[in-house]
Amino acid sequence: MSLSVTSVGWAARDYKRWDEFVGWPLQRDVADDLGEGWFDAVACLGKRGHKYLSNATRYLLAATIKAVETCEIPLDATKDRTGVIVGTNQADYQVRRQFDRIVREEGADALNAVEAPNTAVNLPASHVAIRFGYTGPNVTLTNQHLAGLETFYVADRLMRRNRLAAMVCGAVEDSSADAPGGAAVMVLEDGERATRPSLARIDAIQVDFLSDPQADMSERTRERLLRGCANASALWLLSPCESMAARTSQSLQSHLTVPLHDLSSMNNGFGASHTLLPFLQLFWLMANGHEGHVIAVSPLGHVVMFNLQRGDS
Amino acid sequence: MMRPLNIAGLGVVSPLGASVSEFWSRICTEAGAPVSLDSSFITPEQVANRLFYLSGSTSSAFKDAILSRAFSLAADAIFQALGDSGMDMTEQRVGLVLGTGAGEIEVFERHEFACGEVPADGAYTLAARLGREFGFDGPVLSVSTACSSSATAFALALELLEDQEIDAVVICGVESASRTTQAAFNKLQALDGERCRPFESDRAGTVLGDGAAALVLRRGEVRGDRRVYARLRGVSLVCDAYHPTAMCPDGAKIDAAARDALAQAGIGEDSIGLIVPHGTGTVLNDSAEYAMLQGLFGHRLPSIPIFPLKGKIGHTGGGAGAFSVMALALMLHYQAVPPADTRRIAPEFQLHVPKSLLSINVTHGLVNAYAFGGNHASLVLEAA
Repeated sequence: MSLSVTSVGWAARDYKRWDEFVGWPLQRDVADDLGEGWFDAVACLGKRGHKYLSNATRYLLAATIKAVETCEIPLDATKDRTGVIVGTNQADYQVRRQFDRIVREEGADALNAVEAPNTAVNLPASHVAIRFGYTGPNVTLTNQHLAGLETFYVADRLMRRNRLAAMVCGAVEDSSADAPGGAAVMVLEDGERATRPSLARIDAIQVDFLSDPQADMSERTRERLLRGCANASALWLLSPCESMAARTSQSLQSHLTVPLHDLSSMNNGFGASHTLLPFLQLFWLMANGHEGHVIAVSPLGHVVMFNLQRGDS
Repeated sequence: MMRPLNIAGLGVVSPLGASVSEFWSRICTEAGAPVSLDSSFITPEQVANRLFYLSGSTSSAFKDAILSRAFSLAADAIFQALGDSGMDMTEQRVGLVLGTGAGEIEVFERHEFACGEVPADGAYTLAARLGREFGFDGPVLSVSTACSSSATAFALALELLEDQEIDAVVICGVESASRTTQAAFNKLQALDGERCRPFESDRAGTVLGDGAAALVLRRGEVRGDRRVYARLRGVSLVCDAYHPTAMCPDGAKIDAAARDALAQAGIGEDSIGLIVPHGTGTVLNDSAEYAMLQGLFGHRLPSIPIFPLKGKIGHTGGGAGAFSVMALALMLHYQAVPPADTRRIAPEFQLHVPKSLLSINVTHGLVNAYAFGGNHASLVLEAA
């Protein structure tokens, strides 16, 4: 089964930087509408209902609204067969940091009870389900760096097993010292039954792990990583870490018959500590009509692999 | 129908024992005993209710254990489970799926938040560091769906075993004490001041706990000298898309999850002879779960033994699902149900909660795991 990417959406604290990064004309109009390019919750989510949500939840809701509005898929009719799979490392970080300060300085009684659920890192994905009524599986993955791309693996397998109609997959982070927060989302459908032309197709998704990412890659591991390259026109290497990508590239290069393109230096100042960067690197590939075998590696050893094909539009 | 998967190795660090044999022995003979959390971590002025089911000492034999209690708990449990299973990590390809609600946030609470020392890694690098510690050669995933995290992990492990060239997957559920979690539950008035009392008349909320439970899940034949405790036959995930913290009162989605897990197992509800409920001790959640069980099992419910584990070890957050599955696997293995700590079941709940060790002859059992955000799961196990 291939997954058809039928829509994308994103929301970020700093829209212009994202727009510049991805270069995807699809949503330039949205960024322009926002004037200064900074995230405006009222403009994205309406006047009510988001006051007590975390920043991460606001970003994810805004990105999903855009993706769902853009795709025009009648998800209302299939909301019981639509799931949400989200990757994050820091969706709860600022909330917990703020809570901890209040608890240490004033005690737990000074906390706002309405905001207390935001300490749960799965709440952004849950709020998407609540807002849109999606009652399919709702899973939050938290592996550092690659949890966003790992959502494809989980979405693919759960769609097959549960005959789901669509999955909202994405990555979301709150702002941190080294990166502005934001969310990036894709609506995925079963490629055979997709209701709209696809922006891209993703298949043969696998996950792997390098237990010693600093060591030379074993022959067995190399074989696994390159298996998907057999019919590919190119190999694209995504990573938030240039040195990790260089090591991986070095291990694979001499065994390749197709060109290898390393996108790890493409980060536009986003920092390397969260799940958004590899997701945005994939957006860039899609926006520019590239295809081939994609291998994403994290400095902690996580690996996600899939084939990326151009879509119908 | 789902292909059965063997639960072929167990490991645990819990408030009632730091080995599987000790855990089983103590849940059969002892009551749970919550303590007040160390005041050097949470003072009474910071959080009024510091009642907590604290796991005992861990070996600290692992290099990152000194930095993180969650790492120490999980590493100990995984070490035991791998040893119990007889898996040879040099010969066999093994994956890991970690279920945790808050990862290593406790490290941030002790260091960065309190005194500005920024830890080298993020709060959710635990799975990767465990993967490196044990040399896992298969995929390593980390899932965080609050209190159903490690139950959800079984669904991901199932997918890995179905389509990846791996021999086994270790599922580990872990949670360690967190100041912010304790404070948030306190503010939500979701904590009982006495003990965790699932389905009791006077229940007033849950009581949190910490610990780790690890299970080795594998396909096919298991060598004759190795134990298979039980088989996983069904696992279903749903979201009720209702409220950030409250369960949908109509119970339709949790009912659907249980029925789907039964369908995957190819059995009807009449085959279920044992239940490990989510049973947190919160007023509304216990009522919603009871309504679902009553709808599913009807007049048969009062005759099915039910074991509310959280009454013994507290609510271990993201670890709770793995603890419940492990408890059910042990009950199916020993064909016995430990006595619950339950003292006075609420009159509206017609439940069979054994007061003393109960011998059973049961083929299948059900586990429920529910969570904030409506991320719910049900699993069906079969006796081996």
